[in-house]
Amino acid sequence: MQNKPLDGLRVTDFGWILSIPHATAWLGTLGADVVRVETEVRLDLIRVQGMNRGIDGVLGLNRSGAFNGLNYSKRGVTLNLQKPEGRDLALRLVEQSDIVTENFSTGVIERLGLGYEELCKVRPDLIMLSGSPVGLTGPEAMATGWGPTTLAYTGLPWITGYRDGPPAAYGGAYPDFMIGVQMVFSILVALHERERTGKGQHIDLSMAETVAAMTPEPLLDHEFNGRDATRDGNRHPVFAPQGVYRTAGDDAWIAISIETDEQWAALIDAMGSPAWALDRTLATAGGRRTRHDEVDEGITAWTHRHDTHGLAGLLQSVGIPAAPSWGPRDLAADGLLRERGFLTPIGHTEVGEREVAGLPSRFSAMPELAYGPAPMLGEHNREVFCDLLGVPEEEYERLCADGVIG
Amino acid sequence: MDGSSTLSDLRVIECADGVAGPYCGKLLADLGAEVVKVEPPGGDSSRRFGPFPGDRPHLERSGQFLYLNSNKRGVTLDLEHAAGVEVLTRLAADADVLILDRPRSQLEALGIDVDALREANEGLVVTVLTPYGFTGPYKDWAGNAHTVYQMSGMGRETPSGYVTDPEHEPPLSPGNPQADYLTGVTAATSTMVAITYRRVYGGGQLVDVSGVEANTNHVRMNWNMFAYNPDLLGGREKAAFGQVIECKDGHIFFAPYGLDHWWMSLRRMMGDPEWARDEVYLTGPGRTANVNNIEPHVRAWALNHTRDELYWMSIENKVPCFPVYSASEMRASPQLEARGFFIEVEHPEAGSFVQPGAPVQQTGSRWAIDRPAPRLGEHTDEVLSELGYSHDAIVALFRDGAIQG
Repeated sequence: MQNKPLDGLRVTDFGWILSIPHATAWLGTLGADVVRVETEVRLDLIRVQGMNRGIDGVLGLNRSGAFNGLNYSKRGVTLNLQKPEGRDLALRLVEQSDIVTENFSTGVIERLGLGYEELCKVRPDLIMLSGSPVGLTGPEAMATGWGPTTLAYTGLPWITGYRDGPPAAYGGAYPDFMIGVQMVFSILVALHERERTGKGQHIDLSMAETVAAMTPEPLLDHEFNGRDATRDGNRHPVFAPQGVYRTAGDDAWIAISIETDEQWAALIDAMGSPAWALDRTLATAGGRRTRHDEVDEGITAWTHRHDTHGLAGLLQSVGIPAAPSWGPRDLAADGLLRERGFLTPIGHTEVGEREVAGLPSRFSAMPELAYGPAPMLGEHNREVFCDLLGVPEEEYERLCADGVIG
Repeated sequence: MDGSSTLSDLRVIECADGVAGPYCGKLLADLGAEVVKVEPPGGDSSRRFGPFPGDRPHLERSGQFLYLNSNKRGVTLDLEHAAGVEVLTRLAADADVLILDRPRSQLEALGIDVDALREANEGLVVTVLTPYGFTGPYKDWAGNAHTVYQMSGMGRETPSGYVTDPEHEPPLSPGNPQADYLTGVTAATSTMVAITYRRVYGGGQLVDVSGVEANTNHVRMNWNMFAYNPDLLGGREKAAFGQVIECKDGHIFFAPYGLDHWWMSLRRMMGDPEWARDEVYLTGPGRTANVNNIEPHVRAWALNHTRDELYWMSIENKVPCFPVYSASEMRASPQLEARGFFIEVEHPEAGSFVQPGAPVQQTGSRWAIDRPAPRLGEHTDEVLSELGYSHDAIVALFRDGAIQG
């Protein structure tokens, strides 16, 4: 058995949708006993909404690829927290937990009687993480949203988009999963502090603030120069040219970024020294930036005749940062992520083993990350309530019948 | 640094350039880790990226560098010089974490042997950030935030739901090196995983963080759908369930269609117009199937309202909606002001300026900027003296060009 750094720790996970489920998948894979608390009264959107396309043509609450590929390495229970007995069971679970995570709308966890101060009464050294769009305090604390909506607030979409076009929305549910990774950081820091001082803490993560801390450039430009930077497609303030260029094939593209004049000279060579590129005014990044449209046209006239991967290899062989602009089909076909262990088979009680996205880092002391299955709805109710919390059998049956468990 | 800080027991050597490695170092430094930043003689590349006060490039006044490297001490080593590598080796021998960002082949060409460094210091956590992975088919490829973002699949998702002419609208990269920041967050988290492991079991390890994996982690929904239903993956034109839409005085990000109660709230906000009462819109699948009929009405309605009106109406009705802010508008946000997000930093060369504060508010962990970013080579002498180099030895290293200060 491989050692796991969070062995012996327990997490009560009230989180849902995307960010916290990703964070607690890290914690579970790293050894913590994560008990995900769901409720049949209000199902996780990812089990039921558009992302649940079913498996093998069959829909079902346990057959959402999006959910199962996100919620691995956890146990799952169902509990109606609005009932007093549900809250009591939750408190008993928290009493045996080191960490609690939640991302209900601001104020909800307190209304349920499960706020940080209440939980500290049963578990004084508790580490609790609350995730929210713009933070738990402040005049806009009640704002509703998830990652992509909150992103708008941070100034990042404002500087992203085609020239003369609107601010761009980001895909991939960005930044929800990055937020999940940042949550794991904050929790591990809190554990480090608890080890040092014996004290727990409440972590108040505002998604807007986390992303704003990763977007300092436009803010500092405004600080220094009193202006708001605008959108300029794929262009870069220093590197030129930089772009995503059409290659041969259906919707096929290559990303190229020329960081130095030497790389520009190498690109001219690779293109077979076309006359337009030999123009001396293009020898410097400044000159290329002034005539970027023209340069892009010249490059596209060359790239569009070539296969993406071959071209990337050719450019790399002469030291130019270039890479295919890939979608999931291309990445899956390439094998890079499988070879590196990012794509990995993970089991599931109902649908069996499927290849999904694992954790994004490789650890030499844990060469094989041990992923556990995602829970079916309420799969571990008996195990958690009877075996862990010691609820007697008849009592368990009654709680199920009364809709407390469920 | 401050002994009362959570990570003040960690000594970190950051031998990494640009954004990704330095953001990893910053996340640790701002919580108290003692970080020594190793720069090449010409300085970190982010010293040349700005933004600069008055747009005048200056190695000590680049906003990106100043932001990423506060709380760190700076030493300048020429790693092309064997004596420079020797200094790095001695720094690593006494460190808890070493942050690197070069492929193995480049490290070895410089005489930096990661395995030997780990053998010499068995508790050392070596975190290596590379564009495409420390192992694998592209381990030696050159890359930056742009190529990494595009290769990861994120480019295909940006912009989301806007592409009307895929032939002339290429996949986009973010307007800042977001892909590198994201790799930095992933590296800092993974470093803390290794530190936690060491606390429990002892021993350091090599943490291998790939920019492509850190980024492709964000299209994991695509991965998961692909694994289960490969036929369902759409093209770049697909309609998103949330959109940036125009209003009277700017843009909002508006996503009111996902849940039934959001939809009912939206009807209320719009004054329950006749068109919206169509029963087919009452269910999620109905709205998804008819999004092209709904959207033009909502866009027309939004044009009659200001951004603030729409934002506050949505807060009151619990509908996901946020203003699309520019930097100056975000700076003026009463919410961020009330939470004390922005902080003022004073730098001897760049003066005082306001920058983003803590990425997360942790009640039990001190987060602070205690010192400004180092000037090039500012702490070379100080750090080498601490390592035990004599005055004469330091002078000799200066003379040989192995160090600068």
